[in-house]
Amino acid sequence: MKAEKICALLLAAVLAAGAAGCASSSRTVAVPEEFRLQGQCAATEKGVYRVKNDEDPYAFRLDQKRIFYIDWDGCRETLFCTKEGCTHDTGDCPAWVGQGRMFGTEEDGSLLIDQPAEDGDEVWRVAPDGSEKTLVARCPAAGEGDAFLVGKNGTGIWSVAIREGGTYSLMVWQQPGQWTEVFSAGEVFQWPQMVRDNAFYYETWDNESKRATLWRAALELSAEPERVVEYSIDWNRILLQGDAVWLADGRTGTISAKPLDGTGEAVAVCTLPEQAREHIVEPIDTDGSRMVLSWDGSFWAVDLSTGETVKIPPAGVDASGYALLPAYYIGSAGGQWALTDGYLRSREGIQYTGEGIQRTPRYDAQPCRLDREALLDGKLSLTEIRSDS
Amino acid sequence: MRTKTDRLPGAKALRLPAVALGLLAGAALCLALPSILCRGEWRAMENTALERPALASEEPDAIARNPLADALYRSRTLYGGQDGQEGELLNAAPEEVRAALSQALDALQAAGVTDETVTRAAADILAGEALTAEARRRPDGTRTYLWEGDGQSVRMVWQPDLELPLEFDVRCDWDETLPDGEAETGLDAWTAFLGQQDAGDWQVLSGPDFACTAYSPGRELCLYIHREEGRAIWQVCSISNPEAGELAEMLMDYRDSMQRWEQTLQEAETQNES
Repeated sequence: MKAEKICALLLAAVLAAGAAGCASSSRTVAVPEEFRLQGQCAATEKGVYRVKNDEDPYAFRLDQKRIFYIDWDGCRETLFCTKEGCTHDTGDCPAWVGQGRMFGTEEDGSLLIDQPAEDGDEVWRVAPDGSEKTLVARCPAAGEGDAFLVGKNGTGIWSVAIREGGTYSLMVWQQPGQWTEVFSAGEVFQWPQMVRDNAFYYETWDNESKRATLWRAALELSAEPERVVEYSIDWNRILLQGDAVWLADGRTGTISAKPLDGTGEAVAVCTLPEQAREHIVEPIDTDGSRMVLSWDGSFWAVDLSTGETVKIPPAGVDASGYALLPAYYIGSAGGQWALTDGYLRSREGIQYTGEGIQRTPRYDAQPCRLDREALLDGKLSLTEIRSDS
Repeated sequence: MRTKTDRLPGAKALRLPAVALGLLAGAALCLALPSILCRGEWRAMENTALERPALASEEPDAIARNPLADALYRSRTLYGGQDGQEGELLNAAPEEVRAALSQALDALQAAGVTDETVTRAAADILAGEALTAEARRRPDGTRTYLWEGDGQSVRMVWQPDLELPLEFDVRCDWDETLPDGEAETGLDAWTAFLGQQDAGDWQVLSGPDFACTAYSPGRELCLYIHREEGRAIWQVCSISNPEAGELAEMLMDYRDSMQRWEQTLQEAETQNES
């Protein structure tokens, strides 16, 4: 019972951490071909689309989620629907997501929405201007088992099916009603990382050897999983950024990089100072010459050529005097997405810990624009996003 | 292998084996993580400033008339969260700490709040040696008493003016000493012990099986009872009506997470067996 409870707590912690990672935005990175599998957001050059429930919090319902749009220039958030006469509370509203989720954008700026239906999931495409939505495909029926959508390309819609016992299969939907299994990984635990340039990246874990492996699979019918890099579960954290997977080793303080295509060996880039050792070091963002990392509850900018680190100071304090720090999603891949979630704002509130009710300061992720250049230089500047909702 | 604590302010330190992490990863994925993650997100958008839900000067009459509700409301509005604060260490001898906890335990037992199993477990812990025996004064004037032995403890938050325990927590890592129990069976006794049976608007909130939570909107009081292997907690606190709504969500979330986790665990066990 206790072990279960601990794990449930951890699960709750992961969920909470994920909640902090829901919002995403980045002006500096073109995202359409690369969307984050756990995200409820998509960032484009124009702005950020995000899914949220804006109903009365005390009448909170999971099935009332809708898409909101934040434009970069005005930094204002508006409901993503321009359909004339729409009441925004039914499934035909372009902004309506219900219990579903957003899982990506297409090159023309359309959004792809995954909405649960009676016999499985439905994939909808929402026009870039929010004027209409059209049904694209239907996903596996419930009898097929759980699945989550990976992405869409010219071949079809891709998903990962979760089989009984936890093994995963990569599937492609080529035409309505026909799902084809491309390969089955035969692994129990996997962690999908991202899709980029028609390749799907995911992790497998070997809990006995405490080793994890990052794999890539081209989203094509002949796909076979290819090993990208292997690393320690306990001490390594990875970041998929640019053309490389970056590894931070908390035990040795080494930052290394390996090409995402799996070629070559991991090359040590720099060594972090002694103070970083024995912490879990999370690589969060990099432009190839600088990197933002987190350890010991603080954020650091490191010059990758010298290993010199600068602690990133909080961007002031909030109304209750707590430091404003960046919010990020622990364990997520793709630094821009993670780091641009916003900053943490504290407010006092209650928490249920699983063992009682506590009144403590709570840190919620407050979406905002972060200046990526400033962050990489060891500074933190942010612009609040106002909400029109 | 051990690493230093790496967490953001306000986050809990959690330790787990890598196996659990793996299970967790799988579980989180199976749970269609994105669909339920954004609960905190929209709240963050709407709550752009520190929320003190009420002011001491705006205390409703129904609360002001009830000494316990009044004390907890004032503590909440004047002092805010104190759960993360240790408080000022008092110069109390171990015997004083033991006596304070024992007297409270006797009162709880006499009122039928603690059942025989918990009473015996707590008494045994208090009869044993303490690695830590301390009393502290919190900013709102309440006291905390802790008697902690090897893997077991009795802890209490005490309201000296009302001479009532606001929290009584018995922990024993040896499950056979403090077996499972029914949380809801003690609710009436706990309510009566606190003198709140006349509130007339108690609402029982759904939550995990091992806990029972009741809320009075009129008095803004929340009663919480926790019974599982190795742990028994009685708690009363003041929370606003909106916070009660949030708590209801948290309890349901927790229950759902537990159920999903158990399902994932069963699937993993099934696979291991095959």
